[in-house]
Amino acid sequence: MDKRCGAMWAAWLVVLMSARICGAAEVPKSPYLPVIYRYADAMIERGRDVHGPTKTGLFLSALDRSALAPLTTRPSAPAGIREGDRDGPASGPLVGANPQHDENLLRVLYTLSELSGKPVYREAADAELRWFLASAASPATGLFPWGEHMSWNVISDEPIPDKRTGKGAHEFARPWVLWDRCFELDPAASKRFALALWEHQIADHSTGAFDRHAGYWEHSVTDGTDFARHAGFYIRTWAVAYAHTTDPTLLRAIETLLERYERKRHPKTGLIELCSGRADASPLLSLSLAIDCDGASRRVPEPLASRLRVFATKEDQVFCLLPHDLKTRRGFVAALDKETGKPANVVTPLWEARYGDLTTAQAAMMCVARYENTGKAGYRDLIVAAAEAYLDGLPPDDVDLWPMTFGHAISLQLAAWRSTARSVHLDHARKLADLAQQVFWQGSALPRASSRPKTAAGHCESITGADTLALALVELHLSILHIAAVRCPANTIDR
Amino acid sequence: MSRTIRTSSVGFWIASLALAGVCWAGSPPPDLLQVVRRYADTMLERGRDTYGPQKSGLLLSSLDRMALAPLTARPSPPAGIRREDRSGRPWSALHGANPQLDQNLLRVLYALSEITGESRYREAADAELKWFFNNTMSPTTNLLPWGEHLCWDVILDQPIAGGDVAMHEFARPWMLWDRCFALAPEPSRRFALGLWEHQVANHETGAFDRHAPYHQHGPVDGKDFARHGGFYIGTWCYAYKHTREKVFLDAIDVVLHRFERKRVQKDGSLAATIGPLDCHVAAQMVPDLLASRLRAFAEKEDEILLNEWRKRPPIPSMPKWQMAYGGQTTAAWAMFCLARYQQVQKPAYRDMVVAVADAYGNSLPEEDADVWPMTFAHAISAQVAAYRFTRREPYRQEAMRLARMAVDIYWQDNPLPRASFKTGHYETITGCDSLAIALLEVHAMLRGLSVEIPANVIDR
Repeated sequence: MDKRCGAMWAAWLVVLMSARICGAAEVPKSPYLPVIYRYADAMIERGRDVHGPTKTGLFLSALDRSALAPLTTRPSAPAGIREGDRDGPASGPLVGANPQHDENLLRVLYTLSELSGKPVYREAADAELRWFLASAASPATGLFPWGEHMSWNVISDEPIPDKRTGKGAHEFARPWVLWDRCFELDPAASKRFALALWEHQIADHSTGAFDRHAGYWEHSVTDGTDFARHAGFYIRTWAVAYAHTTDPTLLRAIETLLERYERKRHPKTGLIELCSGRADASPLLSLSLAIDCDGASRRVPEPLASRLRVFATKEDQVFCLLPHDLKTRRGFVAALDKETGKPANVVTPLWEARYGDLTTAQAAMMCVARYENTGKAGYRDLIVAAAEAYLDGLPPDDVDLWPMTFGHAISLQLAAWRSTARSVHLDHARKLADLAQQVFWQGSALPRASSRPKTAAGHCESITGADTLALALVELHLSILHIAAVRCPANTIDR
Repeated sequence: MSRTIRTSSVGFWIASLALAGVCWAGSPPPDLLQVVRRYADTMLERGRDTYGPQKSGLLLSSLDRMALAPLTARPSPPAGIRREDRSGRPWSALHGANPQLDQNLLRVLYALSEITGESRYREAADAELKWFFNNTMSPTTNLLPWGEHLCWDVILDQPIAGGDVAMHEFARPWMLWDRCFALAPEPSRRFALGLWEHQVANHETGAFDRHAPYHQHGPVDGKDFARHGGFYIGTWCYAYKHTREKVFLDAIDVVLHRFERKRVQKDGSLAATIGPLDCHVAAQMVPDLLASRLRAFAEKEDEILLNEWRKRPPIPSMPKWQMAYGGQTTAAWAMFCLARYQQVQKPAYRDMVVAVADAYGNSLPEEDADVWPMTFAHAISAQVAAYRFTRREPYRQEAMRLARMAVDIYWQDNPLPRASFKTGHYETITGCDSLAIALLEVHAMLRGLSVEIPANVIDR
């Protein structure tokens, strides 16, 4: 640099310094991201399958937090978790890898690569998807050993059957929102699964009858408990598959299921039966279906797209007009009589999570999914009311809390903050996040499965939604620092 | 929906199910003029600076939609909006007024006076321009606290920056120069001169950086993004028109020459630079010799751009809905094509607008996208333009569908539009002002109005 140039730069620096704006507020503190990096790094370094003859690289869905290694025993289940749903062989240690239980962890990894610029996180997520898509499908049905009852045994390198029956039972645990990435990584395997879902999950191709459980090892379908949320998961799968393949079978599959639920809607109340033959209705399951129908409508051609949107819009009308009592009972209506519309005396709990039930924050996150895609003010009011219900205080000490519930409560406060610009919601999200760090991480790299484990250290088990909490903390970090260049995935898939 | 309804009887909500349409297609949009008027009325009544010692009357560029008042906290940013570009001090509530970000709202106010015959809209816009030009200019550089990083803090009554340093940078081309010279001739002239003296670092080569210090002289030879060269030329030509001062012709000549040179690549090939739009505008106002050069430059830019687009059509590669800082949607690109078609009527540009309108036909944003009102604005304006070009009913229907959707999603139950799908406050940085123009276009199309609606082509 010559003298003239140096002088010019010095003058430029003076100008810059003198142009500094005084009196601006301090940069807010966000201590949350290091916790997530540590979690992700520990999972990548110590939580992947390097065991048994095949080193799949899959993330283990349960780990010993102290040893940062596979569990050698079967720890007691967190409250509200059924033994049969855990990721391990019946009565053995939890040595399963279940990408559906780890779905939000995978989404966190993709986001961390965007934030850090380091590909290692994305590569680990991609590796999991690639191996699972290519190697885990049943040769007979094409279904995957994942979801509610199955996982991949990383020690013996085989699918773990349904613990209740000893057979393979395919059932979604959540909507799978990584289909686009799956199609990029392995289009043939992804398509095979989507078609398998039609061939081997749906019992009747003219009525769309199905049971949420289907055989994994062999074709075994029944006309049984056809919960609406599962129909939504299938429709979402087929819609993305159609967008990537334009296979008309997939449109037929969507039409068939959509028609089934159009027929199921009660002409007076607009409610949909819990499952075939039931007199009660679960508006939360139907809302989940609406979310997927709307998502699917963006991936399929007309006139099916409009039909899907009409279905979702109808559900919006039904759901927003229900007598949810967030002010006094602090919950959403969880069940009603299908014909009369009379609510059962059941509302969602604030903190107590258990199999088959949703917490208020969890249900509110479904409202967030609808609100942020439709702008309907009815959902905004519900979101704000639900967020206010959590402002009263912190969770009770005597409940075995799940990280998932904290994840939803934090993301709910952030959604309320986005829509109202009231800082009380952002502040409360921080409070909850601080508590969640203390309760679940306790200085360790991995979060424990619940707040009151039977053993002192507790174990890590993703079935209770540590991945959802991690996603919420990433979202909180981006919110506190007003980072908008990287987008956090919507924390709305626990439904 | 009110809580009264939510807690009311089961029978009531069952009956209510019959109400309201179920989706955005097929039915006419609400009275769009009313939507825009209500927005304008609310801004005039509740969105002007009556705060701090000086009641400037400037329109705030962000507001709390629930309180219809200045924000008390810094709201969540819409996707793709950088921290330092928002109208407020770093990490503080957004209390800034930024006429460049509100430019299309000002143009809407002028249009509303034309449509309604009520002068108060025009008077409010005039008041903003007059006050801003007379009171906010840096005494040292003559630059204004507006654009990409600066604004006027309506509480503190001082220029502020969104980032750590006060840098002048255009956010958009400024289309209101004629009005500014009518209302504040000397400050307008001084700004144009300030742009030459304090934004352009080298008066021989035309070297500049898009950022120049506001408080003190300090332009550098840095990131001379071509679009900014166009914005400067588009300023100086009006200054020449109103003052006849030679310095503005010299300024145009130098910057134009810079890009005539820069257009030629190392391998001898040509690359588009500042585009044709601002040069074409300037050519109407300057003497023949320079005008010819500007026209020739614009023509060459056309040739380069159209060749490039023939080889690599932009439609499939650009995002349709998700905007981000420095990015462009397909619809925004259509607005460039529309602007150029309006100038020179080259069929290729018209065809591109129609192709974009086709691409948005029956389209919905991707799931979970945080869509800006600006993107809807451009998509709607593309449909209106395609309808004007072809008189084909589907474009009219699409314009109505998108307009209705935009009103439902952004306005909801409030007189002010929100900043994006995922936020709830008012903030013009994401282009709700452009959306208001688009709604007026649809209104004019449906009613066959002869009033000229400002062209929705300045978001570039």
